[in-house]
Amino acid sequence: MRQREKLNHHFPELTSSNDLKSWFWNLTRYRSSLAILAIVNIIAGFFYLTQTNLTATSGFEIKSLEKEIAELQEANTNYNLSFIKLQSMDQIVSGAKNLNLVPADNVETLNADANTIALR
Amino acid sequence: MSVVFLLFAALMIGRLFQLQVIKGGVYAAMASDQHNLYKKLIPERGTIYAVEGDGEKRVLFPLVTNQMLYLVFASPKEIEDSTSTAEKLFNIIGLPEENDERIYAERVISSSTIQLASSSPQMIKRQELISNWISIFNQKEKQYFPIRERLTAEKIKELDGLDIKGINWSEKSYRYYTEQGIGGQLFGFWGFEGNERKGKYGLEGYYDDLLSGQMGELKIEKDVKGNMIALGENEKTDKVDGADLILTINRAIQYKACESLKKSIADHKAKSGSVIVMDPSTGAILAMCSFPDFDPDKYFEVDDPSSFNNKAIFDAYEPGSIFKPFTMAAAIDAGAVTPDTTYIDTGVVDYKDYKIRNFEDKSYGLSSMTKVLEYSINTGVIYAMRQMTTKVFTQYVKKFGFGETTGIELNKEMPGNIANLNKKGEINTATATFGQGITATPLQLITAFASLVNGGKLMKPYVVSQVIRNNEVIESNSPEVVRQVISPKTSLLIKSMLVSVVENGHAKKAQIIGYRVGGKTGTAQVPAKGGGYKSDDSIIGSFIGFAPFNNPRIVIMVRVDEPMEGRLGETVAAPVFTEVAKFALQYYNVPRDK
Repeated sequence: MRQREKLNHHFPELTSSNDLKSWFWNLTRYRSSLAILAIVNIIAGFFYLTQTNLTATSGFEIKSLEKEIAELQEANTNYNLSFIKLQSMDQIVSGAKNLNLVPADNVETLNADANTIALR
Repeated sequence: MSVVFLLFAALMIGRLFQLQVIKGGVYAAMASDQHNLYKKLIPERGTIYAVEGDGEKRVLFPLVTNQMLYLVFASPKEIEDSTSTAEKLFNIIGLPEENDERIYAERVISSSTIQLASSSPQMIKRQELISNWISIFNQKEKQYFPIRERLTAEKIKELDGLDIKGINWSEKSYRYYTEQGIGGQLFGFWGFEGNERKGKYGLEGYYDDLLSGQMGELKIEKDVKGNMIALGENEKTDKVDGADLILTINRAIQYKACESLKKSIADHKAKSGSVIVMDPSTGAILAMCSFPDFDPDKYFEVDDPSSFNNKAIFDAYEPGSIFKPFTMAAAIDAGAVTPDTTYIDTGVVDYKDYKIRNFEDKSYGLSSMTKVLEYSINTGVIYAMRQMTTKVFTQYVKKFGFGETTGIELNKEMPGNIANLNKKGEINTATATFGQGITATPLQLITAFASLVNGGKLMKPYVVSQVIRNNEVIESNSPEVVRQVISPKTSLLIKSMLVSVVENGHAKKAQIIGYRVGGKTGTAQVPAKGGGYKSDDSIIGSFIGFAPFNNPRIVIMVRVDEPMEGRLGETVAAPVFTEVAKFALQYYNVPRDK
């Protein structure tokens, strides 16, 4: 009786045993909701952290891949330049000299008739 | 007490107001510099391609492209041991390539150090360079000192491996020219305008906007170590790389033309010269070369800026006798003469105060118009002009495009000068009939000459066929007829007369076995600075010709200025034509026609 008065002091509307049950039920529901909310928050927080971490990791991976792409592009450019250098006219002319090649003279180009075919 | 407290609070508020409101912007910017990184994304400059082969077998070859190299610099403030740093650095980058033995020898003579003089030249150079570096590295107040440009990525990797404190580097894009000495004036160069790099002269100048592309920008948040924060706020404006130019220039013909010109200039000890090769049916320039040339990679070493001008389009001159075919074509087209029209040549045309004579005072008696061209008779072209009148002649000169620029896509083209044709008195027109008193550029001459042999159409010359960006054509040039100057019939007649000049006249050195070649020589006097002509027998030797007779594949214009040996166009210029034409006819597999 004393306890009820004490409760009534805090919750004046609770005046019967039914009210007390209802109050208790509400309190339990309230606590459950809080617990669920806390769990949801924890899961969301965990999810957020995981995603952030994943994004950050991906960012670093992208950065590293971009660096790799840049290096490969540079290597490709350098190979192309070396290739072009080897094809330069000066290289060809000096190469031809080293091979004792001489300019073709008196070259005769024939006009091929469309009906002309090789027999053998 | 409360008053003191209030005063203190007011002071605090005032200071905060000053920091956050008045100077807020400055501090925000300073803070931004600490945690933000701004980077300009430099676009790659476009590549300039020449073509190789013909028709379906045509491929592209880069003549001007880019190369990423490195600039190594020192921060003396950060260097702890200057001697060891200098030695380590030398072991990797060594001596500069440009080091000249001759310059070095002068240094040895001036040096009193017995030890240096007794060492090998390489050793002395090494010691000189290292001691130079040490003295620079000891100047601790300096924050930046450039050491060497154009180092390769391999060298930088080696430097990186050593981790030398106070030695750093930065990437820099340089133009790379795949062929040396074949048309610096055609390309122009990538120079500076203030602190900004700009294309100057030639193609680099004309197409600077397209070749440059557009700068991009990157703003990223960085962490304490200066690394990018992956989840930070990043802003990026993409760069747009420069567009590529595809030229009509054929690499092999360009090389041959430049080599032949250089050889002729050296053989005849000439001052300068130029050569142009054109496809007469389209106006496409296949080769364009001038001498003296400059190395666009070392444009800053050029003493005389006039060397940057492309003589082929800039340097208008009195063309002399190679102008006669235009006079003759005009007279035939106007119906004033035919190739067989004759007149009596007395060797002189008399004006009141002036007499116009033939070369070497020769007289040829009864002469046909064909003979006039074969023997380059001055009085003969004056006769032809008189038959059509000065007015008609002037109209044709303008129709051939003289006195105005052709509109080729190269910087600094000059229009030449035909103002003398507007002066009173027939003598001014009379001298113009054989190319004196008027000026024209080699490009104008070849463009007009192409119309003589292609059926009479004046084609707009062009050197760039396409401008492409990311495999997409953003600009293209195709053959463009400016106007019909002479009739196809006149074109056929003048072509035959020009073949006769090479086979029977003054241009036999232009003959090519198996082909009917047409052309005309020119030996012009050199104007003196104060007016009149140089009295030292200086000449400008020219040759302009085409091959083969049927469907001409090429026209070539050669000009050689002030040769010391060989005083005729036939001697100094025609052999260049022959060499280049023979090469080009073989290159394009043109069947023989003779």
